[in-house]
Amino acid sequence: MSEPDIGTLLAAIERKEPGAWEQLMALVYDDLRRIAHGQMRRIAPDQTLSTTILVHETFEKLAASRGLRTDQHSEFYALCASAMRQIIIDHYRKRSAEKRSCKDLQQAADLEVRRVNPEADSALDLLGSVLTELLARDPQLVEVFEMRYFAGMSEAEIASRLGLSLRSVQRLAARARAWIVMTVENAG
Amino acid sequence: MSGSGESNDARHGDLSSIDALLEELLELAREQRSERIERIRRDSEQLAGTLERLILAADDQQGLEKALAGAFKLIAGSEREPPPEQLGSWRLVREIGQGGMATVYLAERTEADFKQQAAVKLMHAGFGSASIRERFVRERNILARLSDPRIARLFDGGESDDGRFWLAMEYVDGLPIDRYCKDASVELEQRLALFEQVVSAVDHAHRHLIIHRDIKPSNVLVTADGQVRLLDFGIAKLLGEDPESEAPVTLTQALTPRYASPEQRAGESVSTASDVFQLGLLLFQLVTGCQPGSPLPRASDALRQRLQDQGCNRREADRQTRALRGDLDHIIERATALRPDDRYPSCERLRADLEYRREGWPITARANERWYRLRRFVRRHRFASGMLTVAVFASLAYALLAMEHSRAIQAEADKATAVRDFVIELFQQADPGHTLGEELPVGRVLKRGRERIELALHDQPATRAELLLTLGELYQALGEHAQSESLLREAIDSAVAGRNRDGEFRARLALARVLGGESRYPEARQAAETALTSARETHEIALVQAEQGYLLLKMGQPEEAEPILRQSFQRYRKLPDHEISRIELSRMQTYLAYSELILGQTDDAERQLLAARERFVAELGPDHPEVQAVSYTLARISELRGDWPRAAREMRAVVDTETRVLGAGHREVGISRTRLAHILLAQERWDEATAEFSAAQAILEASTEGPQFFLADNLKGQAELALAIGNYREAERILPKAIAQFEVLLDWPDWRLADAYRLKATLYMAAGDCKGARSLLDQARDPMLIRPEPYPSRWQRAWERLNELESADCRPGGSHLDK
Repeated sequence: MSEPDIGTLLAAIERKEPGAWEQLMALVYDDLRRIAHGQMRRIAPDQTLSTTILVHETFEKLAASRGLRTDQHSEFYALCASAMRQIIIDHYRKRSAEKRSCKDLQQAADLEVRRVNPEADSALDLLGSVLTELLARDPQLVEVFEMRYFAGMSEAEIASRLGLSLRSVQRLAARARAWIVMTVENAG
Repeated sequence: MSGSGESNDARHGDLSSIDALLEELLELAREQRSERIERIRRDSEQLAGTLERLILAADDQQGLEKALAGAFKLIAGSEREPPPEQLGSWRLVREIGQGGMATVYLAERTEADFKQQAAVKLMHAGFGSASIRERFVRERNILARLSDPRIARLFDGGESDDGRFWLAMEYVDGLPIDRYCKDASVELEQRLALFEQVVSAVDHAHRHLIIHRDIKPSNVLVTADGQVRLLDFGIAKLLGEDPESEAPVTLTQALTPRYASPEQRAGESVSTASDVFQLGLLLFQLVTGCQPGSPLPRASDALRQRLQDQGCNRREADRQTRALRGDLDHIIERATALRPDDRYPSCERLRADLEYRREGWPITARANERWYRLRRFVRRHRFASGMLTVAVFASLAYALLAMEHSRAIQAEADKATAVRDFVIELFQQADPGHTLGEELPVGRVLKRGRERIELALHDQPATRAELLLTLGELYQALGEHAQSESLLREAIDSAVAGRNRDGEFRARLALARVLGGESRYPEARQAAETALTSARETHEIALVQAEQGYLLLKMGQPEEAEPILRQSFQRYRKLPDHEISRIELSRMQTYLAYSELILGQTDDAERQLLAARERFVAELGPDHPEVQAVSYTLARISELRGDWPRAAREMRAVVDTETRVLGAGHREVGISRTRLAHILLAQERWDEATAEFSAAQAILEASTEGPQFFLADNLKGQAELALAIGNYREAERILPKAIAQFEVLLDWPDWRLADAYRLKATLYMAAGDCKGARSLLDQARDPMLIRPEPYPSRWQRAWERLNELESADCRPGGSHLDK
């Protein structure tokens, strides 16, 4: 079973073919994790990774191996950013499911695997919870946030992608930042 | 589920309206924003505050970076590499576990025809430094010293092709302790028994100076036959900070963060105290079934909240809080104290407390810090005492402690300071430097103290009451009841005049005790009754009730007394540390023990007494009269068990100490010597018994006027001795005196009076008066038969003797009737 190339998948997404988005998402999801792992091995423990670099590196790797047109870059970035958000929210859901049943210690032990740094871990939890909440309130908030902070896209790029005014993008980004930072600070 | 959904919706709606406001504010220019926020503030301070913070946060890029940085660590941490097939001589069979820093495989190797299994732990990349191999050899040799079968052994170690470090350890087929407990629905006590095994194993390692550093449920397995096995001993050290490396992989990251001690989190040096901490967390998890997390365990009120935070529902949290309330939460709290110095100093001590709890003894984790400090202060001075008798110092210590305690309750600092200065001054006067080693200057020192009160404190009745009370308690501790009584009565008057309610209460309680000690029961009951009316706090009420129970006990109603004493002891014990006095707690425990003793529950009583004595010794020193009183009763227990040599030895020790501390003429010495005489009598050491009885009688008669229980008891003993050696004339002379005093002091029916009647019956038999003897023995029958030994068999012997005599027409034959 040969994997479809990313360009084809992106085109399929554009045509709103069922399952195309999920297929591409799965691809990016795994790659993001693998690449992040590679980055971790290269840097010293106390350095932090940059989300933007991560997404870019993922992009470069996939673009090189699977063929991607230049005009598909922004689309692909947006997708990576969504994948990032998805990873975070998945993690958060697992953790909160664990919290709801403190009975299942085995599950908790499984999750232990993912715990590397307690501070990062709890920050991540919060990030997951606030993203979930924002998503329910206003999906556009999250979309702008993802592109701005995970994919490192400029506000102008986002504005043109979403067909919004620059001013609107700026306000959406500010609101998302406000909620996320305050939630994290409140807990910290 | 639907409940939490609703509240989520409500919260969601709330946040949405805040979000709308935020959106509106972001539209505005800076100045207009402030105006708008001020307007909102008029309606809701809280809402305005939230909005202000949101606006600030909107500008804060750094906060965002921090939150995002976490995302990568997570993503990176969950990625794995494919496992190698072979590590050293080990062939990997399958993966059996995943940890924060390693993956564990079941592995095997064939050596000299037998297959050996091992658990091979392969570190994730980035864990373990270059010099690890060298250190591995060193550490392995150290770990080889551990011979405890409950600790899994370390076989081998090395580096994989891609530069990752691995270790081969004994393979244990078992479940993590938390899962084992859950799957097998293990009961609490059984869980604690497993936990005690863990503590013992860790203790073994500590004795070999090896620290585990990473104790957590997944490192503690239980095998199918219920045996505990500890994994990864010393491994954390092996993989941990490398002194030569400049960029160490910090243990904080390597270790499971949830179980890291505060000093480990802070990256500070690690000691056995860290293991104690982690054991505390493990205990918490075993007891509650919930995982520990931040914040760390504290006492039970915070506990419920935390359990709920941990994701337990309310009912579950309540149930588990109940399981923890009492001693277990104190044990967990002490083990997991933030400062290593506040934890159990060793695993052994942790284990001991678990044992105390199991057996119903008081645990040490409830020690109160303030008291502890004061005790140390006093102890320093006690050792400086030189020629002064220990009793003075111990009593002063007692007064200081009592006073410090009252201060804590009342927070009337100036009054308490006055008392403290006063006592310290007394104490300095009593210093051998001042007294040149005069014999027992206690009386003079205290007398001078009294004069000072008279002179200095006319216009301050509240403070005067405190000082009088302090002096009164000092006299009481020394057994000087008459002095004590008059001081306490004065203290009550002053306290009433000065509206010192707390002082009044304590003085009334002390008075009840003094009167009880003097066998003046009706007056003592009256005093206790009045004390109860001035009691306000739960601990005060418990104290008075214990005193009332004790009085009932002394008046020969142990069945009524025992539940009161038990209830008041248990209630007092459950109060927060700062409200109770360990001395009072110990005293209440001894009361309870006395009631158990009289009801024949000798083993229970002995346990309570040993626990109380230990606490007394810690608070008051080994020579204090309170300690001797407990030792006296322990000797009585040996006596009740018929272990005469031991009883004699123990009682003799009490007599010696009391003579040294209180002086040869002291009433307490008279009481103990009477008891020693009884023991000698039972051993048929007639001459020694005779000497002890009469010496004791002289002391008792000189120290107190009027009827008293111990004098009566002494006389009864002498009568018994006289009968035993056939000296009927002497028995006839003494016995009526004993009975007369008993009849004043005790309400019929009372087994001690009945026992005296039994002696009188024996005397009648010697005179050939079977009828008189029968009537007396009939009377004595029920009170004696319902008591524990030796009373029933004493009565039985007398009764058989009477029957023999009646069948021989009441002609007294032999001379040794009662043998």
